[in-house]
Order: sequence, then C-alpha cells, then structure tokens
Amino acid sequence: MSVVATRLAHAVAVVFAAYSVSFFLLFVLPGDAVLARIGTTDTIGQADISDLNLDALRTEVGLNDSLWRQYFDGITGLLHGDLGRSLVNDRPVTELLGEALPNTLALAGLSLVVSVPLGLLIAVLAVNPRSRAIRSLASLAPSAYVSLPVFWIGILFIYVFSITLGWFPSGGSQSASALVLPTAVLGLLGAAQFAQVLISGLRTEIGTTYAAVTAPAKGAGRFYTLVRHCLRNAAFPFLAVFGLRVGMLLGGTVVIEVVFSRSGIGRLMVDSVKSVDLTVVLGLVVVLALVFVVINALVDIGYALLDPRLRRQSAVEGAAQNQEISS
Amino acid sequence: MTDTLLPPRLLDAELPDIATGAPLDEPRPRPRRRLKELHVHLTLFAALIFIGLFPSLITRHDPFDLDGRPFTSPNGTYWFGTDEIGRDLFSRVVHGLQISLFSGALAVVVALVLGSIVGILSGLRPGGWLDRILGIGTEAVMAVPSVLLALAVITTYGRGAYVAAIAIGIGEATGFARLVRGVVIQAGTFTFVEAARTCGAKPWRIVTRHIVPNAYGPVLAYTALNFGLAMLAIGSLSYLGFGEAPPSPEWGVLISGGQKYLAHAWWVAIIPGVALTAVVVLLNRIAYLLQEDH
Repeated sequence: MSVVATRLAHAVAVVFAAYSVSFFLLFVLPGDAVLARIGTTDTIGQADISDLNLDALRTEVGLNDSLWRQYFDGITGLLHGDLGRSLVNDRPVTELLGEALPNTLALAGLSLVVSVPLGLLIAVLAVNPRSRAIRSLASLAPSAYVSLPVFWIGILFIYVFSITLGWFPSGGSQSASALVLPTAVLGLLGAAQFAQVLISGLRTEIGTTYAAVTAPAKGAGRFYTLVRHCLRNAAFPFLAVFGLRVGMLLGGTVVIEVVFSRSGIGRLMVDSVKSVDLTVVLGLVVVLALVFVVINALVDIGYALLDPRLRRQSAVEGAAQNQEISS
Repeated sequence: MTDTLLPPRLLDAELPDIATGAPLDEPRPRPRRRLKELHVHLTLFAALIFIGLFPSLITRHDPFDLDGRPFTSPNGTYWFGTDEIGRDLFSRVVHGLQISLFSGALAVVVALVLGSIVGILSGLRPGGWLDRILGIGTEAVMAVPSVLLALAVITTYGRGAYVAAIAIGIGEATGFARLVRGVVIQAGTFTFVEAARTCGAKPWRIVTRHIVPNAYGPVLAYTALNFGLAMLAIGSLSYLGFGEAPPSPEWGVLISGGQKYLAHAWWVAIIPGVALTAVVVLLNRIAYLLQEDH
C-alpha cells in the first residue's frame, strides 16, 4: 500500500512542479505581465494600448497582487478544479478544454490503435523472414519515417491523397473521412517508433540462449519462438516508449491539427499562445501533465503485469529502473 | 530511442567473422567499412556547414529578389522552381540551411550543456537528495510537452528561430540529463574510478579526467541524434508561425508558405521538406555510426 502512496505523492509532485515551472516561466520573466496578458502589438495595435488604463486592467485580472499571491490563488483554484477564465473571451478554461479534448482524443486514440499492431507487424517482419531483403526493408522503413518532418508528411499526404487522387478531404474536423489522413500520419509515426524499439529488443532476445538454443531444441519454430518467447521480454523497452509516445502524440497533434485545420487541444494551444492567453496555456499544461503522469503510472502497472518478478519485489522501484535503463 | 537507422544484419553478413578470425562472443575489431562510411558522412556534414556559412557561393540568384516568373516549375535556370512571387527556390533553400543548421546546433549545445550539468550532479550520488530533486525537476519538464514548453518560452521572449532553438534545447536537456546520469552511475563502478577515489582525487577531477574520457561515446551519438530532432522541432515551430517571420527563407516557413499553393505548385512546399529530411537522415546516420563505434 505504501508503494501506491509513494507513487501517488510522486505523481502529485510532478503535476505541481509542471504547473509551477510553467507559471514562473510565463509570469515572471518578461517585463510587463499585463501587456503580455492583454495582448502585445500582435493582437492589438500600438496606438490602442496608449488609450487603455493599464492599472485598472491590472487590478481587474488580479495582476496588481503580488506574484506569490497570484501563484497561491492559482494553486488554490487548481485544487478546486477551477483553472480560471480565458483572458481573451472570458470563458472558463475548463469549458474550452472540454470542447477541444474529444477531437484530440479521437485522433490520438485512433492513431494509437493503428500504430501498435502495425509496429508489431513491422518488427516481426524485420526479424522473422528468411529473406534478407524483406528484413532490411522492414527495419530501415521505420528509421527513415521518423526522420521526416511530421508537418511535411501531412502536406505530402494532402497533396497525394487529397489533391491528386481526391480520396479524402484535406482538412476539417466534421466528417469521419477527414480523420483518415491525420490518423494515418500519426499512426505511421507511432508504428515506426514502436517498431524501432521492438526490433532492437527482439534482436537481442533472439540471440539469447533460451531463444537460440532451448526453444529450437524443443522443436519450436522460429516464428513461434519469436512471438511466444521473445516478445514478452522485448516488451519492456516498448512499454517505456509507449509512455513517452503518448506525450509526444499530444505534441504531434499540435502540428497535425494545424496542418489539417482540425479543432482540438493542439489548435487551442497554438491559438492561445498567439493571443497570449496565459490562463488557457497554464490550464493546458496542467491537463497534459496529468495525462503524462497517468500514462506513466499505467506503464508501471504494465511492467508488473508483464514480469512476475517485479510483483514480488517493490514493484515501483524496479519499474522505474527498467524505464531508465531503456530510455 | 537512441537507436535510429538500425541497419540490419546486412552489415554483419558483409563482414563475416572469418575475415577477422575473432570468435563470436569477443568484441570484434572496429569494422573499417563502418569507419569509412562515418568519414564520408562527416565530410558531407562539414560541406553542409561550409554551405551554411557561405550560401551565396553556390547560388546564382538572390533569395529575396523577384527575378523569375511566379510558379516556374523546376528547370535549368531555377533548379527548384520559383515561389509565388518569383523568388528562386533553390537559393532560398540554400540560404535557409544556414538558419536551420545553426539554430539546430544552438539547441543541441543548450541541451548538452544543461543536461550534462544536471546529469553529472545527480549521477555522482545516486539516490541522494540532490538526485531526487533534480529527478522530479527533470520529470516535470518532461511532463510538459516540448512544443508547449517552447511556445511558453517564445511567448515570453518573442519569436525567432534562435529563441525557438533555446526552448527546444531546454526540452531536450531532460533526455541528456537521464543519459548522462546513467553513464556517470555506470562509470562510478569502474575499477579505475574506485582507484582514483581511493587515491583521494576530488569528485570534479574524477569526472573530468576519468569519467568523461571513458563515457563520452554514447553521449556523442545521442547529440548527433538530437541535432536532427532539434532541426525537425524548430522546423515545426516555424511552420506553426513561432519561428522565423515570413520573408525569411527558414525551411519551416518555406513549407508553410508553400502549403497554400499545393494544388498548382507542389514544389514550393515539398522541396524544402526534402532538404530538411535529407539533413536529418544524414545526422541520424552519423548518430548510428558513432553509436556502433563504441
């Protein structure tokens, strides 16, 4: 039980630290916070600023309070589940997030669903077949794909599948068919990353005694050995990457949502940064940090499920170490 | 994620053990072919740096002059065609290399320095209070998606490729910190480090004289890998409109500018992306070869 408690305390500490880091990064460093908060010359012209009563505005948004007071208020709000209001359109941040989240979750979830089996398939193809050509093709493809800029692949896909072939719409977030191209871009990226880790894991495992000597001696075929014996052991680094991948997926959706002009978390992030809507940005940080922490906890549970030895020892310590070794 | 461009057993097969005569489980002598390939790639990279420093030497047109017809497709005079107002795309791509390459370098230097400091400090006494605090700090930065972290820095300091580079560097420093920490912990178990400690050497001397010379290999490979990743990240930020501002020939800007004209002039958006990909692939390959060497 104390393991769970430690883990929980750790998770809370990470979310708290992420909030604090972002808070001080956003609110402390530059000169006039109110100018930053009501919008710089990007959003309103220089001339308009001179007419504004900056002091009144400062009081209104609570910026005349001391920094610690603001920070304290922010934390208290956070504990109540209140993330404040948008500085631009005065809507509650939670409401904005609630509107944007389903679209992003659909995209991220769907691309994860695509990428795991695909990554597995590529990894097996890179290790199992007798033909060297297939093996090297399957192991080179993922590494080539991760070298490509995501936004550029998106544009390439639009050019090929939307403009030239006319199969799918080039953007938007209404129809289901608009989901195909962005899912393909992100799903392939995930599959490539999973395949990379799985390939190196499987290569190591297939050289070990149990897979190279014992299993064949018992009459197991190459494919059977690979899937039934090696895969479970090769899954550890895979799990670590899976956790990281979810974080990166949320980052990846930012660009993809802009490329395919979809609405979602990523687009909200870009828009609120452009209009210097700092409360929304902070709210996004909290939500994303929460997702990161939850995923990491799930990954740790995954380790314990995969490896019975970890269940007997202090589960969390072992998992944390495993993760560090592989990442 | 340290393992990119995994080239397969192909290489093993081409260098049979018979040639070296070494038994399977002993480390083979460094394969010469691999070293040769590394040298070729490093030369190519040096050439890129040279072009990045002096882009005008290999271009015939000015990157900002409107000296062609708009949307000329690639031909003998305009190798990569021209953009929407008739600027030579080849010249713009070559000049853009400077920004992309050097901002990527800045990012990776920031990440390397910051990450090494944190990694060494926490690796010297694993499990100590400093290690725990730095560990939570590292994880907090990791929990904030790097794009968001970069956007936060850009919000406060203004846009630009080099601001973006510093922001990306901070995000990437976490990976370096973890790697360096692991390397330092591992190096601490070497006999010669223990010997040095027994002789009364100060921790700083042990790090600089004993650990660094023996452990820089994986860090070097990771640096090359992150160089490519940083270039991709900076390109993405520019694409989103947080890097360089439009007249600049930065590659992300070129791609986002060209996206509008995709239907009738594919080359404006596609070619700069090919250039970016090529440089990143080169860097990843170097990373892979460096990693194999040690």
